[in-house]
Amino acid sequence: MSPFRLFWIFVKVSSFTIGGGYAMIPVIKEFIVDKYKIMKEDEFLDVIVTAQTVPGVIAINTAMILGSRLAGLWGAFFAVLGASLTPFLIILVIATFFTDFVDLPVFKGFFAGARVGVTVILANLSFQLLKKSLKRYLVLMVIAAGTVAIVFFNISSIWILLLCSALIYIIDRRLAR
Amino acid sequence: MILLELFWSFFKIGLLAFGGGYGALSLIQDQIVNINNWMNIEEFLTLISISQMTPGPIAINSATFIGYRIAGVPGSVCSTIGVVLPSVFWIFLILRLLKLSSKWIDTSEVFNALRLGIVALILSATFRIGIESINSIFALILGILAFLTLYKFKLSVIWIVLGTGLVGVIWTALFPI
Repeated sequence: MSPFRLFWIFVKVSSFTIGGGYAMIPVIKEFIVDKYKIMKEDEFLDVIVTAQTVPGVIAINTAMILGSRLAGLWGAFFAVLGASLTPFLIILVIATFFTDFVDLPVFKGFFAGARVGVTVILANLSFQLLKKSLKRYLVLMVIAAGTVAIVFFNISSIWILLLCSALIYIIDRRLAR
Repeated sequence: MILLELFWSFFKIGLLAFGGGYGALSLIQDQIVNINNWMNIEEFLTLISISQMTPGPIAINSATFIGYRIAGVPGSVCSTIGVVLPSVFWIFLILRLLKLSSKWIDTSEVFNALRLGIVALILSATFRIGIESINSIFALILGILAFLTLYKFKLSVIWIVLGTGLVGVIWTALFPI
């Protein structure tokens, strides 16, 4: 895959990521897995998981891993450039000309609506990922407990990721026996 | 030298921020408001809401914004590069570690569990954004309609985000707050 194509994919991804790194995951998945079929869903998830296990901006971590997997060092460079360029330019324009835009009803309305859209695409992604495990009640319970721990008890997501995965790993082992 | 200080502050943020933008926010506040006194808390909060309302990762948006406020375009370049750069180090390290560990253990089984564990993180992001954004009957109906549209017509997730944003604009135009 050419580094420039990666650059464009990440320009598009970062342009439509409103409200943080997680909103980006369904958008990247659509490009890489569903539309261009560059990776399988499992491979893609491995990239997402790896990006979360270390500190740093998740979007940039993801861009780096995907870029280097698909097109080596230049791939990583151009993916990261694509992911950071649009936000950089947009913020520069806003900071220079209109800081007050936050109070404009048009922006408020757009943001409020788009956040509903982001919720929907994230919910849809969660369903897709759980589809294969709908009958594994223990696994579902672990995931539900992890979600509650993050949302209501503000426990750091990295610990929940590790703890939930460890429990699921043990469950898988037990069932395999 | 202010440019170096900006770079170094944001480098530390990128190096230590776990779990994406929301995890980074407290670190950013520490560096910007408490340690360096570059902004007061009110300015900081305005800036965060702008960073959330514009496309792109929150950490990059706020780095660009704060850098520009404090030292113009050179400042924004330095702080953005500062927050992105640690990812290079972390990703290089984790990819190396994965390669090494795959010699000793079967990482595919571990990743099978991690792929399900990550659903807890995606679900918690869904709930966090959902609790904030779906705050009226109108938003709930919009969300349900958007979900059905996505499910039935397999529209691009980008159109879902733009479409719900547009509905938000029209809604606030019809019923001003």
